[in-house]
Amino acid sequence: MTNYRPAGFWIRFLASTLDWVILMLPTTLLALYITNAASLQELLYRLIIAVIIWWVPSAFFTTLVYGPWFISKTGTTLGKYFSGLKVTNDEGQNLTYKRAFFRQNIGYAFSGSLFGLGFLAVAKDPEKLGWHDKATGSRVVITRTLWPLTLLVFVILFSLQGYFWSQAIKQVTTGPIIKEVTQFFSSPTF
Amino acid sequence: MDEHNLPPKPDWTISELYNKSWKIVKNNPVLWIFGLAVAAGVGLNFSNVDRIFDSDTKNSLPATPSFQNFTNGQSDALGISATAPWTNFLSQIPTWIWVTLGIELVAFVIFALAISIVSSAWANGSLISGIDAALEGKKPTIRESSEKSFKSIKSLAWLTVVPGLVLTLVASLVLGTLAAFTAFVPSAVKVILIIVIILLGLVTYYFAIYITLSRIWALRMVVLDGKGGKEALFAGYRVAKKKTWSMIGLGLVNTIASIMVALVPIAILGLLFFGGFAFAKSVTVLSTILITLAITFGILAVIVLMLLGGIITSFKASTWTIAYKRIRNKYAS
Repeated sequence: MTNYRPAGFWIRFLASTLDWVILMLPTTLLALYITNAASLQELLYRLIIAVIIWWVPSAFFTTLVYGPWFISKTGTTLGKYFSGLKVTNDEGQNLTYKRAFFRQNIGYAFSGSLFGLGFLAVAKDPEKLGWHDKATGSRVVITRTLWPLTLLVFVILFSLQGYFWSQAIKQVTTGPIIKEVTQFFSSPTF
Repeated sequence: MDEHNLPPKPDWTISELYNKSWKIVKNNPVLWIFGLAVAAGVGLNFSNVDRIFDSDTKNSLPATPSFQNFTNGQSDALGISATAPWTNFLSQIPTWIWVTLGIELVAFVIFALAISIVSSAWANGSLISGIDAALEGKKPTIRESSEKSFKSIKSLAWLTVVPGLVLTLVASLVLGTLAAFTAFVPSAVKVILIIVIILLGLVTYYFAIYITLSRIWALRMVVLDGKGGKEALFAGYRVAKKKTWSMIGLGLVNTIASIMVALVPIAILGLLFFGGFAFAKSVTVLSTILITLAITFGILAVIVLMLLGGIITSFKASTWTIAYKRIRNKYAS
């Protein structure tokens, strides 16, 4: 077993936050697409399309592929890759798909069940293990010191998405949709 | 007094079970966490599946469909209700979109249900393993309890789903078919059918109760003795038949005790709010203090009730596990 250092709470938190930001990117782009509608009805139509092509499939993608499959094949997700982290079993090998699936879904729910105490446990545990790690026999190790890159990627993606969301909100609040909504609610028949 | 005339010693007494369970649960906070996971258990949100609209429009979807915009002025002039534009809008959306959305949502619900069942099975298995370790004098850990539970997940999931599902399907089919027949038969036969339906309903209820009772032992047989789901269920049923009233007694006491414990924070909260509103007009300062205390306590109560949920669940599981270990060699082998 290669002697990598166990990853502590903050680097793992940063990696998870980066994962979240990466997974939010399609949602952000869809928000731009939806809010670019010319009318309220077109907005609703685009919303339905977004649900069909991303929001429901993304639930399957995240629970079956992004976490479990990537971790079982490569030991890492994009967020963890940019943070120089790897998820392994006690022997330093990749988890099986079943274990990775359990860890990323049920394990995470378990750790989060009591106000996230299972995640905070990483900070206190001598081996830096969370409840989901203990439940599945996994551990997260640092393979390379990359936290400055992690921070940079996080800031870029976060700022980009912040900009896109502000554009989406601007489209809704200054475009034809807000006028249609106001007209609808102020009509005597309503 | 002749010893042979004495009633047989019960396999367990509730005070014994409660004393031992309390000692185990008090000293092993790991069990509270598993208890919380079990209590969180199967909490399903069934999404509404959209209705499939009949549409006269062609199936291919234009890139940006042009919806007719009905202004509210037009609607008023024509005397059409405000919902008419929306009904028109919905009917312009091609059917394949609704079908796809429906299929995706149904698939999502089934997927979420499957994960929930596996999660519940794992949590139950881990809790029982942890309690068993504590009963043997070891300190239960998340790792060991979880590893033991992994070995039994398939059987535990089977126990969670299959017996109840089979009973529900059979009962629905039989009772539903008989109920449908009542519409087509003469009155005399109708009365007989209704009596048969009621009797079958009672039979269904009997099986439902025994499935619940059998499952209590079956879960422990799977985790502690390595039995398969089906084998454990039938073995559990045999034990449940012999111990029915003792089980119902213990179950009732457990339920009443849980309600009483959980009621304490709720009662305090209720009193504070009641006092706050009762004094609202007469003693405003006291009312404000009471309501502020109630809100603060309410926030704490959420945390306390969550933790209590985990503790109560692990406590109840512990009573059943201790009871099982008492009768294991006598009835369950």
